[in-house]
Amino acid sequence: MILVTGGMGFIGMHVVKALLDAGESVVPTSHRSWRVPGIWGDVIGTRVFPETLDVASTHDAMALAVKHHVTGVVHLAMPPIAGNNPSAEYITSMYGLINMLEAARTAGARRFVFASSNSVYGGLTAGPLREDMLLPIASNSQINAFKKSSEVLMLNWADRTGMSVAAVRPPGVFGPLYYSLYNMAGRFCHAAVQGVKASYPPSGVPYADANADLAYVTDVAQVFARATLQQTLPNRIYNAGAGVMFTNGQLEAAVKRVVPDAKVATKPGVNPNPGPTDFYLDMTRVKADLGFTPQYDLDRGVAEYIDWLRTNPL
Amino acid sequence: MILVTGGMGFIGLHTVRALLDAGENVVVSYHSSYRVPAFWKDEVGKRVMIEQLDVTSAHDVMALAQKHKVTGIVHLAMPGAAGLSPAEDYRTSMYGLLNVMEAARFVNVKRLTFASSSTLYQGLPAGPYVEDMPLPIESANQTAAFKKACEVLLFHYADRTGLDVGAVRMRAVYGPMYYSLMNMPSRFCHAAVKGVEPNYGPAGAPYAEDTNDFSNVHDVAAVFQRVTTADKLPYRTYNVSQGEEATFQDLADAVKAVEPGFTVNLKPGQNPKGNPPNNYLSADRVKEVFGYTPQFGVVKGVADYIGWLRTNPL
Repeated sequence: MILVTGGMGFIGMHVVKALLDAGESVVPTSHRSWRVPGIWGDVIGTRVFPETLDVASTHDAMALAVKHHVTGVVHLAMPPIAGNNPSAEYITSMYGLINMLEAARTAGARRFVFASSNSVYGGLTAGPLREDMLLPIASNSQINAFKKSSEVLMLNWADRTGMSVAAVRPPGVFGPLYYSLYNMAGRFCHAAVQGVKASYPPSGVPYADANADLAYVTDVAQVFARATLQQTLPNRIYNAGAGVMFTNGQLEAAVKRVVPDAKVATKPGVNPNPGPTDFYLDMTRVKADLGFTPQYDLDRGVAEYIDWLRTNPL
Repeated sequence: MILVTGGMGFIGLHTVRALLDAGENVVVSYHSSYRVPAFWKDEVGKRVMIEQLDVTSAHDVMALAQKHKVTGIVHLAMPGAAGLSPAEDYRTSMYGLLNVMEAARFVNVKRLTFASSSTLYQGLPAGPYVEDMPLPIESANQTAAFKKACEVLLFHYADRTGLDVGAVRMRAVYGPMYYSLMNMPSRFCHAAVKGVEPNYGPAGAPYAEDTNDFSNVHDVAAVFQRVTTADKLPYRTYNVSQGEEATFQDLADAVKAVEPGFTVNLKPGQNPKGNPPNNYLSADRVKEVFGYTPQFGVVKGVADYIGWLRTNPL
């Protein structure tokens, strides 16, 4: 029985699905946004046992893990990206981490997997991004700060308790069930299916040559599932990216191959604030340790996502 | 009025003295070990107020800061180096940090200074260790992990809230009032005064040609005072150190210069497992910002410490 905190978030729902596909039963927990997606199938009460949980509650976390005899924990729950004050975020992130670690240990879980982020590489000037890179102590975002400090604390806690742990670092992720639309892939695919002009971030229409590692959500979920279920792990940190750079121009082209009249645009020219070079996640370790290579390039991901959007509510 | 948490710990006692010398009044908080040193006992009830405080109690930290109209905080309190469970160490370190940061903001202090450690440089292949170096996500010990995570979260909190913060990274600190004897200078000096060979600890006698950067507590306290009371801080992190290596042979010679009968049996040569090249903290930033250069090299520092030990109980 695998406990997945934040199991009703975008990545969490796919992690639950990947664990079900691997034959596991799952307890997805939700704090505020309760969603039971169609991709799980008709397994509620037989193989999926949803629960409400505030990870900042020590007693509730402990009781839940013991009640369900969990053998593994995937800790995805995190505060929303906007809307909380710094102390509320600190409490959810840092109290939540120790509560889930201790709950996993008390329940006798075999593995604890923490959802980190490629944000921890923020501040480095060049990639490819490898798991063992040294990282700046300063953080350029709250996700960077909370994920980086959580990794440090989890790894040391594991050294002292002997618990087997892993941190998974995904980049920007897109695919079915993604509704918060922080990244361009989500914005473009939604607009294409709705037949409306894409909504752009405050910075406006993006440069065609701007690039980033962008992962399809089922690939990310596979890395989580394997890091959770594989008997032994040679390492404790795993990237979960596509392992290449995609440009906004490539994204626009991929969308238009599926929806030729999509109202999505990029602008030519060189971004006056270019990002770091080769800022993609090196997937060598995932291939070597977990035997997994990302299955989705941009064309395949965009095509499947748009196909899903056409038959599911927007 | 400056609040010094952990003000009755080794470094806290001296930091209180340095703040008094700079004209500040001080609230000293302690949790479990109460001691009033000769070098400020006459100020108690006048310029030094003493309070018991558990930094993990949000309400008590808040109330204490409010009661004393605190204008600055030096946060030195930390769990003892051994004896607590990993969960309790986490709770004391991470809840304590948030409570102190929130209290600092609540009473609008001019600055919060955090006691960090040079242990967070462990794992780097060579020095000199400079404040802006990127750091490993893995930690050699719990001090490294907690101090690293706390710095990350402190700086992020400061970014979000505008709180003015500084962190002081110190190494191998020795001097009067140091009784826990975790490092070689104190083991050597105590043994010399008692007329016995040092207890070298679990790793045995050090190698004569291995190096460290031994910091005298008077220098450390002087830097804490400056970081806390400076009008403006151009940086957030400050090493405090000698800014140069000393060998263990240098240390033994310094002790013998004051106690000629001192018996010590260093291992010859260097540790085959490797002593990092330039194994010292850069002292350039403290000099640049505060015009401060370390006043207590090994020879002077050891003489001062042994002089104090001769007239004070061991």
